[in-house]
Amino acid sequence: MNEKMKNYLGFGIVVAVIISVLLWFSFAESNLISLPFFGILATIIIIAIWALKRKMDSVKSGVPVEDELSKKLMHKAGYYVFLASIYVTLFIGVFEENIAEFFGFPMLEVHHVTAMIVLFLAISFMASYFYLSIKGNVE
Amino acid sequence: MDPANLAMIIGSLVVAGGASFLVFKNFKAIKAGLPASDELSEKQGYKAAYFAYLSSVWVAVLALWFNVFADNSGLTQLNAGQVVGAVVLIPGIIFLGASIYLNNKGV
Repeated sequence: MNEKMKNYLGFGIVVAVIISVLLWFSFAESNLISLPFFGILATIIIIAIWALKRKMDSVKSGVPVEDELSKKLMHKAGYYVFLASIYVTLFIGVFEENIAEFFGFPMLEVHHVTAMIVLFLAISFMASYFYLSIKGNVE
Repeated sequence: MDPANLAMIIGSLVVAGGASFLVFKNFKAIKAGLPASDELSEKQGYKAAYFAYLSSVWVAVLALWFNVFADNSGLTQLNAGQVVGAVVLIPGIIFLGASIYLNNKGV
């Protein structure tokens, strides 16, 4: 897969997330849970657009977009987030079905569950990537 | 039986079977006095998990889109349990598939 194709795929993911956010907002009622979610989503989208723009600039100037280190960082960050996402997703499922009802918390709707999962995946990947890049532990 | 529930049961069995196979393989290696994982298998695990991570983002986004589409076209929407099941099982199957593929093809 060449560099341009990879960038278009990345751009596709950002567009997909933006469309999903718009769809989610068409569902969501104006309650307290929507405002913090919107802030976090807006931050993620801004960071994603900035990262994509940086990549596009690299392609334009003939510099390779990814080196060996950034690939290793992405793979390791993805590994940690994948493992964490299994536990977090299952916890959300258990919370939604049992804990919320038992403790009298408001029940989560399906679009809240989906939004929480997407948010967790995005935030934890960014955090994991930055942590590993600062620490430099990729082996 | 509801097709969504049937798919979840089959998916769970595939993931449980694959995970059991990996655990069994590790135990066998430890019994034989070999390390359970080496540099290559770690790299394969990282890369396969990265693909599984990307797939879990897409599964969650597609579940959201499907519910919007279902709402507008009279289909049954996925409930929260089904979304959770899909986000755990589909990337799990992709992780197993990618592990086997990378094991055969090399990293």
